[in-house]
Amino acid sequence: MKTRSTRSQRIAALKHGFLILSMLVMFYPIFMVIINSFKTESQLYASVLGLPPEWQFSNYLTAIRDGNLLHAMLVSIFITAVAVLLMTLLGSFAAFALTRRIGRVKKWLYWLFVGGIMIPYQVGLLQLYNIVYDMGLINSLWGLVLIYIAWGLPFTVYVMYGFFSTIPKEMEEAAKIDGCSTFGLYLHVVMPLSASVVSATVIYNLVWVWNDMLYPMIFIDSAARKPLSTALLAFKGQFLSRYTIMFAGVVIASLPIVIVYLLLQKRFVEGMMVGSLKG
Amino acid sequence: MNVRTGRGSRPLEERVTTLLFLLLPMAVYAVFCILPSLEAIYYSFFEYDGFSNDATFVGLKNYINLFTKETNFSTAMQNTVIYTIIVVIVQNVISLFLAVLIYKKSRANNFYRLMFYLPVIFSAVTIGFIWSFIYDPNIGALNTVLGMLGLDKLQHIWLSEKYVSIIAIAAVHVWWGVGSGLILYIAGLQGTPQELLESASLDGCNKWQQFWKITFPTLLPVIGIVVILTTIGSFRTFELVYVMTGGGADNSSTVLALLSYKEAFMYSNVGYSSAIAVVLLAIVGAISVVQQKVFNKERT
Repeated sequence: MKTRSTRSQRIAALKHGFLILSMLVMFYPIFMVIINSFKTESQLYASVLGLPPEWQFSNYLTAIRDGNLLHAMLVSIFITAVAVLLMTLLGSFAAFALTRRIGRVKKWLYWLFVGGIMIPYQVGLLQLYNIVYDMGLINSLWGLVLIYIAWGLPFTVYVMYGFFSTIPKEMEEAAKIDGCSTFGLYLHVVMPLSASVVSATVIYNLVWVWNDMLYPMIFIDSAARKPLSTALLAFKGQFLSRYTIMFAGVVIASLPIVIVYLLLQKRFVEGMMVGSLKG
Repeated sequence: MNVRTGRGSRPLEERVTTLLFLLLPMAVYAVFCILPSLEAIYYSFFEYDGFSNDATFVGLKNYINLFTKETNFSTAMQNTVIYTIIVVIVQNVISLFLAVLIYKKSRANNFYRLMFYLPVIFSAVTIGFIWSFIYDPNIGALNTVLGMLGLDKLQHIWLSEKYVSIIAIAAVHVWWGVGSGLILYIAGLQGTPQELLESASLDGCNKWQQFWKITFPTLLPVIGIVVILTTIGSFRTFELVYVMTGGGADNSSTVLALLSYKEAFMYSNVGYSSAIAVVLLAIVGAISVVQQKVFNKERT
């Protein structure tokens, strides 16, 4: 009995040793970015792997001043907040409407919405550009928001419809007998029951829009309207191979989402899990 | 007031509200997603520069060119397939292995999960920057470490050599995505019936046998879904390649989605670009249909 427990202890120690080691390997690239963002260019070239001899913030100042990253962060916050809010609202509208008895078109409409999930973003990109151009929405943050809503709807509708259709019909009947209108049903019955599914779609869409680079790259030219992702891309050209400044930029751009992640942890992972099922 | 249009039919109020609820989402979705996608299919049968008003109908010429001429398309297809195979196999093996180690609920395991998942939340731009530096031939961490270990022969100009570059980027994708497979496998593993495992262990099954006889078979559907999801995800890869190599050197690391983008926005071959996009859509669509079939079979 005694030998058995020491053996299982040894296995547990081995397991944790392995896990900690692989965690360090996983985390190293992020760690490396953080420490190198505090070095000067010559300190970086002297030692890539070591800690900075003295920690200095000049890279951050350069990134913020010359790279205008705080402004880009505000743009990102605006785009993400508005797009995700409207996506959630319109998505829940559509999903709710699809749970009504609307006859034979219902199935078609559902598949039309949900089929969008499998369209890669690059399909019809130039045609989308021409549409947005004709509407005069190039370089407009609202144009960008509309594009995000459109491409975020399929997933949002899919997840929300899946949940809404599990809400028992008796609850709806009861509400109707109490004189609830259809809008009241949406607002007072369906939505309050759906907090978890709403938070899942919000988190997934939030990470997508915040991190996305494709649409801003194509639809936003003006430097003053670039969100963090493309502002960072422009950085690469501006500070060609000046890695330390780019690292400071990477840290600044990632900080908000990392904070959200650490604050929400469990909910965050659940939301992303629902999202990853989309593919 | 209940206005009824006939016996048994729904109140007018419900019809109007439903219609209004559908109107706005449908409009935005149709204009910015459905319309351009349909146009892409349409223009894949044309020769078109994207700006002028004359598009020439060429039938299947764009598609025939894709598959018969020795072009960037064959390189892109080859790279996409290599990329997908690497990501799907390596990422799933690592995710599953880690999930088996940490699926039980405990403080330490929660912490591991939190850390392994961390890379998933970073954007392609930041991930691309970080790894471009690690792969830097002169001061990059990878070549530095290889040099320190005396493995100079393994040093490469990682992002410029043919084949090496696409594999290097696929490795980044693996690092980036391990966490997303991990949480799905953890959820799957937490669903394995514990009583079965306990009775098996009472019957003298060791951990290894328990895994292969009980855990693995119950996990198979989850593995199937995650494998298909990673396949779709890596088949439509774009941003990472764009940031790290831009498809270079000389298109040697290009992939389907990137080539389609470049043909449209840089070389003004809209018809040709659309044909590539349609091929991409067809492949991804086919995989999704298979997924739906498998997934729905599981549910019934």
